[in-house]
Amino acid sequence: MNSKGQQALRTPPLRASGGIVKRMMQNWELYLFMLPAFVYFAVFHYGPMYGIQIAFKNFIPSKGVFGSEWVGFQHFERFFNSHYFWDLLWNTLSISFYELALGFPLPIILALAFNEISNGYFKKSVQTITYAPHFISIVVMTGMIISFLSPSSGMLIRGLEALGIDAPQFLNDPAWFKTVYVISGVWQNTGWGTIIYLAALSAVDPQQHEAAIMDGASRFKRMLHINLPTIIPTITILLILNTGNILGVGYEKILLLQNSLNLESSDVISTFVYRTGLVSAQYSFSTAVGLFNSIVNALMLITVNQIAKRTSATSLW
Amino acid sequence: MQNKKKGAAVLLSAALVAGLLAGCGTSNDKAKEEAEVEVVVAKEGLPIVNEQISLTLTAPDVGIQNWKDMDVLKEMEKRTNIKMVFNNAPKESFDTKKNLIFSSGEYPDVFYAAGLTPAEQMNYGEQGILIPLEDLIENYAPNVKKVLEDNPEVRKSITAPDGHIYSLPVIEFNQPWYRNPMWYNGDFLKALGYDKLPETTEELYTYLKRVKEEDPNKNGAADEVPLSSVNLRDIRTWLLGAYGIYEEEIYVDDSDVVHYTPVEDGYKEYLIFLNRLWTEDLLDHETFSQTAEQKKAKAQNNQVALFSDWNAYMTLGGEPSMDDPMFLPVKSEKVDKAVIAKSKGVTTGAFAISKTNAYPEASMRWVDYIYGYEGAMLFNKGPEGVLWEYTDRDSLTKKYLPVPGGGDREDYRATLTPNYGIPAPTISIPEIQLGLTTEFDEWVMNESKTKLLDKGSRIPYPTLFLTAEEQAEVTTLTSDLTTYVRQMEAKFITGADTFDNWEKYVATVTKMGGDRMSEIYQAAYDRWKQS
Repeated sequence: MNSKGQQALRTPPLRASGGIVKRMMQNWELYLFMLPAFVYFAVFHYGPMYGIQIAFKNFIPSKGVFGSEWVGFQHFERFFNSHYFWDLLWNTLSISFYELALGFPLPIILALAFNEISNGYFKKSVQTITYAPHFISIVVMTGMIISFLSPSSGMLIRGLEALGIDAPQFLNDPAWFKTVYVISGVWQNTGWGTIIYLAALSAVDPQQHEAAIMDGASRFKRMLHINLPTIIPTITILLILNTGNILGVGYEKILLLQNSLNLESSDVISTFVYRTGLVSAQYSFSTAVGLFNSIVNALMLITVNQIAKRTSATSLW
Repeated sequence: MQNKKKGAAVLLSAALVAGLLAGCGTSNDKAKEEAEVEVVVAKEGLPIVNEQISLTLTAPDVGIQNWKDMDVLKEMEKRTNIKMVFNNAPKESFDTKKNLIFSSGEYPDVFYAAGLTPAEQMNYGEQGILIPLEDLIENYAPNVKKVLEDNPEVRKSITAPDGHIYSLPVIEFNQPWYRNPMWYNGDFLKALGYDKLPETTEELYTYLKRVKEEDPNKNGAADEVPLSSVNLRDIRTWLLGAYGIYEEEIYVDDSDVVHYTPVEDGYKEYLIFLNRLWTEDLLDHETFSQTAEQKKAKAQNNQVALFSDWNAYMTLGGEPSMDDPMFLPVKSEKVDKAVIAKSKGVTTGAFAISKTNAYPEASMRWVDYIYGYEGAMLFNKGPEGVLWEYTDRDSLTKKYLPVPGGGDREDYRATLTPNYGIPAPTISIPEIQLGLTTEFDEWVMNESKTKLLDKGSRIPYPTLFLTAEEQAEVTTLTSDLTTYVRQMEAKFITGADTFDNWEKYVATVTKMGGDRMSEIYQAAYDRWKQS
C-alpha cells in the first residue's frame, strides 16, 4: 500500500548514458520546463542571501551591505544575553507546538469524515462553510477576534455571561493568549487544510473497499485500515514541512493581537525582529535574530526528516 | 519584499559609487550647476522658479483627503511654480516607512512633517543623506533666518553636535500642552454636584468612585467608566505630575539632576494609585487592549467621566462646549504641589532635504514661505474665501465663513490643508488668529493659563542632541528597556504582579541599563547647559 505514495514522490531513475551535458541535451525540453522555477529561486531566494552578511556587520545604509564594517558575532551575543531571549524562544516554540498539536490532526480527521459522506448537497455546503474562513484576511480576522472578545461589548463574552460563566480576560491574560491564537487559527484553516488530504484520498483503490466489505469490515475499520494508510505518506511529508516552520510563527496575526498585558506570552522571535528591525531601524541586530531563527528551523527540518526516513521510509530527500 | 531588496542592492551600490565620487569633491557642485542652468531660483518674491519644477515629497498621511486634491497644496503650486509629487504613507505606519526609505537608498526630495528624531537627523545627516541647511537658510530663507535670529535658543535646539542644521522645526511658542489635556465630562460633574474640581489624588479617587457608584448618566445601570485611556500614554504624564515627576521617561528636576522615571519612587506611587483605580474598576479595564475609536464610542455613549483628547468635544461628540472643564493637575501627599509638563514649543525634524534633491535652493524657498505670515495663514486655515475671509485687509483682521455643507470646522479644514494631526513645519504667528478666535478658543486658552501655566508648568527636558556614541547606546538600551518597563507597568497596575516585587523590578531595569539612561542624559544636559 505504501508503494503507491512513494512512487509518486520519486522521479524515475535516469538511464546512465554518456556525460551530464549529453543527457541534458537529450532531455532539453524537461530542463526548459525547470528553468523558470530555477530562475525564480536563484533570483528571489538565493540572490538576496548575500544580505545575511549584515548580521555580522554594523549596517549603515549609505555605506551599503558591502561597505559596512565587520563586527563578528556582536549582534548574536547581544541577542543571547538579552533579557527577552528565553521568553522569546519559549513563546515561539510553545505556540508552534501548540498549533501543530491541535491544528495538524484536525484536517486529517475532517478529511476522513468528508470522504465518508456520499456526494451531495450536504457535503458540498459543509465543505464550503469550512473553507470560507480561510479567505478572511488576517487584519479583518484579528479585528473580529478583538471585537468578539472585548470585555465590554464582545459577542462571545456576552454569550458566556448569559450562561452564567465568568468570562476570563481573553486578550489581556497572558495565560489565554496562546489558546486564543491557536483556536482562531484552527477555525480559520482546518477546512482549507482538508483539501490536500481529500486529493490523496481519491487515490484509494475502490477494489480494496469492495474486498473489505466482502470480508465484513465495518466502515470505521475500513477508514482506519484502507483510507488512513493511503494518506500516511502525505501526512508525513506535511508534518516534516510543518516542523520546518516551527520557529516561523507568522508575525502579522500575533502583532495585531499583541498588547502590553499579554506581551509576556505573545512576544515571539518574529515580532521581536519586526520591532527592533523595522520600527527601531537596528537592521544588523534584527538580521542576526532572523538568521538564528532560520538556522534553528533548518536544523529542525533536517532532524525530523531523518527521523521520518528511519521510521517510515517516507521523507523529503 | 525580496524584489525590493534586489532593487535596493543596485541602488545601494549606486549610492556607494556616488559617495566615492562625492569624496572627490566635484559631483555635488556639478549637480547644482546643472540645476541652475535649467531654472532660475528667485531669491525673493513669487513665483520661486521661472520654469515649473517638480519635487517629490514624503509625509505621514492622516487619510482624510488625498494630498494632491488639497486646496492649500494646489494654491501653493500656483504661487510657487513648484509641483510637489506626493509619496506619502499612512500616519500609523509612517515610522516603519521612514526607516525603509532611509535604508532603501531611494529618497524623496523633501521630508515633510516626517518627525525625524534627533537620532535620525544626526545619523542620516552624518551619512550625507540629509543635507546641511544652514547655508540655504542664510541665503534662501529670509523668514526662517529671522526666526532664528530673534530666537537664538531655537537655533541652539535644532543644531546637531557637528554644528549643522539638518531639519527645520515646528515652532509653536503659544502651545502649552506637552500631551493632549485631560477633560472632565461636565454632565457627570453637575449630576454629582461638583462645583470644584478635585485637587488631590484622594479627591480624584473619591470623585471617580462616586461616578462608578452613583450613576451620573442616570440610565439605571452602573455602566460608567470613570477613567478611560488607550495604553496609558495619553494620561500617564498628567498623573505622574501628582508625584513630582515631569515626564514618563527622562526629566530634569529643579536642581538640574536628570532622572529616569521608571525607577523613581514617585513612579511607584503612581503605579500604586493606578492599581487602586484598576482594582476598584475605576480605570477602564480595556485600557491595554482598546483602540482610540473604542474609547470614543464609550464616551459618546455617555459612559466616560475623565479622558484625554485635544478638545473634550472630539471625544464626547457634539459641538465645542465650555461645560466640560480641563483636568486640573492633582497632587499627592508626597509633594507640596503637582508638577506640570509644558510643551517644548520647538519640535525638530519637521522638514528636511535629501541629497538626491536637484533643487535644494528652491525647496528651501518653498518651505520658507510657510514660515512667513502668508504661507502660515494658507497652511493653517486654508485659502482665503473657503473657511475665512478678510474683514480688514490692512490690519489683517479676518472672520470665519460658515463651513461649506455644514459639519465640523476642523473636519473640513483637514480636507483643505496637510497641517492636520501631523508635526508639519510651521510657526505660530499671532496675526493669524486676528479676528478668528472664537469664544471657545478663548475659554480653552484660559483653562490652559489658569490650570497649567499659572501653576508653574515647565519643559521637562530641553530639546537637544546626544552625541553619536550616546545615541547608539540609548537606541540599544531602549529597545528592550521600553518593552520591559511598559510590560511591568501594565502588570503592576492590573495586579498581575505585586509590589513586593518592586525591588526585583528596579534591579532588573538597572541590569538592563536603566542607570545608564540617566547618566547619558545627565551628561548631555550638562553640556547643553554650558553651551
